[in-house]
Amino acid sequence: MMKFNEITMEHMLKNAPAIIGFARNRTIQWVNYQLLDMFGYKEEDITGKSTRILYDSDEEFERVGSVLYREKKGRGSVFTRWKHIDGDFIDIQLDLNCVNHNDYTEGVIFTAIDIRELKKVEKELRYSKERFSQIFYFSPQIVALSTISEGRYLEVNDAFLKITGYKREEVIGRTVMELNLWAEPEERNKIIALMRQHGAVTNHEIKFRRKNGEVISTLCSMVRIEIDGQDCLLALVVDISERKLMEEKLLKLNEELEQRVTERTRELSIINKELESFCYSVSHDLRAPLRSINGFSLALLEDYSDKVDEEGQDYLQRICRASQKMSDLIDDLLNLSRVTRSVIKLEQVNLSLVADRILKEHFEREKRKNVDFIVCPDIIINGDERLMTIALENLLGNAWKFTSKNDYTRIEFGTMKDKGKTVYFISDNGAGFDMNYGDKLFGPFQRLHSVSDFPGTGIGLATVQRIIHRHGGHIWAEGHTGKGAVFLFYI
Amino acid sequence: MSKKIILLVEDNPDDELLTLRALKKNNIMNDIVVCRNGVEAIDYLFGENDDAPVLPQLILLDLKLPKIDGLEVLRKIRSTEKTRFLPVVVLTSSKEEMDIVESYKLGANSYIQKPVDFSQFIEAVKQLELYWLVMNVSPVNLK
Repeated sequence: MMKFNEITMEHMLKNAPAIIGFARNRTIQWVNYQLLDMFGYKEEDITGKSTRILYDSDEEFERVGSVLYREKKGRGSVFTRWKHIDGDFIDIQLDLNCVNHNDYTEGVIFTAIDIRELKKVEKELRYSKERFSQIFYFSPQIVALSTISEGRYLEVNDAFLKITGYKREEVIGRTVMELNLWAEPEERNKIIALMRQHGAVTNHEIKFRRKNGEVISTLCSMVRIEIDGQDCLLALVVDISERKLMEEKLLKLNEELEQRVTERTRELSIINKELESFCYSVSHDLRAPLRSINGFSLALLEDYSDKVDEEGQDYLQRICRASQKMSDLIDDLLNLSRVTRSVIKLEQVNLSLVADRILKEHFEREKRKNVDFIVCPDIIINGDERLMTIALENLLGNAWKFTSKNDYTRIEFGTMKDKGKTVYFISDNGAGFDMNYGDKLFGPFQRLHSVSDFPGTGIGLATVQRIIHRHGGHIWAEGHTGKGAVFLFYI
Repeated sequence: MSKKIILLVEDNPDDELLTLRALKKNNIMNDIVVCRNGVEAIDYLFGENDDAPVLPQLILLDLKLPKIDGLEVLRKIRSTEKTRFLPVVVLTSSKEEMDIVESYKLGANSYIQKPVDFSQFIEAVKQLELYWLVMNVSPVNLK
């Protein structure tokens, strides 16, 4: 057999960096150092023994024998494991070649390769594959892998099948065009172009078509990946059909609501106008008969004074006064209703200037002696100019009215801070009022003085309060009988 | 002495009587012509046969008139050559801003709100007469 230099040949084989051995009838004839080293045997322990000693069990010994000698016909490879002298097993790939293919008994040459590392890697790979496979297939959202160029499906997960209604075999290997999956096919090219630009595309709304033809709205995220040198598209798709339905419903509801609001506003504006013209007509029409009542009573007094006695004249005078009062009431009520209905137009208003003008007008009309007006300059607020003017007219008018019996008139309009808020006040040193009845002050038609003392309809303060309230503010008053009054408000 | 006519356009009979009474109280030596609605007023001023009637020195015009209302009458007065300069005082119970603005826009000389208090009314009428008929140089009878 060995025609070479025996020592060199044997030396080579003995020291080869791979396990080599020679067996005959499954009995070890010769092994090299590598086997002894790897498995911890001494030459005398193993030479001449059945290879059975290397195996775990009879079954394994039989199996290997069956595979190599029968299946592979004396020339082949099998995975098995051999026992180390300490009892541990080492996984190997056992390769075998018989010397004479017609007669196995002449012997076989075998090699064994340590495949522990390989097995380890295999295991890790298998584990990894399983892990990622599970992640892919069982991902609750649609995940699909397709080629970029043709849109041919390479892999789709279970969610894909469930939502589209296809079976896996109907999808894999087919293209998106063939399946008619994209409801708007041009979108796919657009997305791919975008992806080329940015590398990935996130949350694009795409419409897909189910197997049954139904179109669903989805949010699609895609990224380009390379697999085996091929440009692929990995897509994550979230079905938002329901969400879109809700969106549409909401939009429609909003539209309806807006329509209703517009309609209502229109209605209200019409009602307001009608009310305005109603108020106007009413007040106008009410004044005419009042004029008659007043006029003819006076005419009677003047022209028939000789025929009417003192008592009768008194009656007629009462009639005159009553009609005048009614006229005032109509004016005030008209004002009050207007204050309620009018639209507030907010702008910067210099209340100091307004107050100055009002007080000056009063003074022009009735030139009293010993008058002090103290108006703090540049009191500027954000409010409706017309309404705030009416409010000041009432408040300052009252101050003027209730100081009419004084020797010295002092009216002040200013501001102060109360708990961080700016409070505006109008004070006078006039007749004042009894604080015990303070809460009645702002009620319409409420008066705390008799008409003979101070004229008035009792609506002025109700009007002022309504104005202040419409500005989101609050008004209150403090007073003492005979010692004047202060009206305070903030807005 | 040329006749000085005051034209009173007023539909309310009470107001008419009271105004006449007030005018009389002030002893105005004028003839007072009363028209009770817009149509009558226009007929009086512009006549049917267009021979110039005697034009009034002063027109006291109420706004709320049946048929043609006061503002219409005012418009017609101001747009006709021969009556264009006649003094028109709008005498009405309305204090509404829009009425005031409209009246002045259409060329009223003055706007007075009829007060409920009659004594005030008499005073107002007296002042009106004093001003328009005595002091003011009338545009009537000028060529």
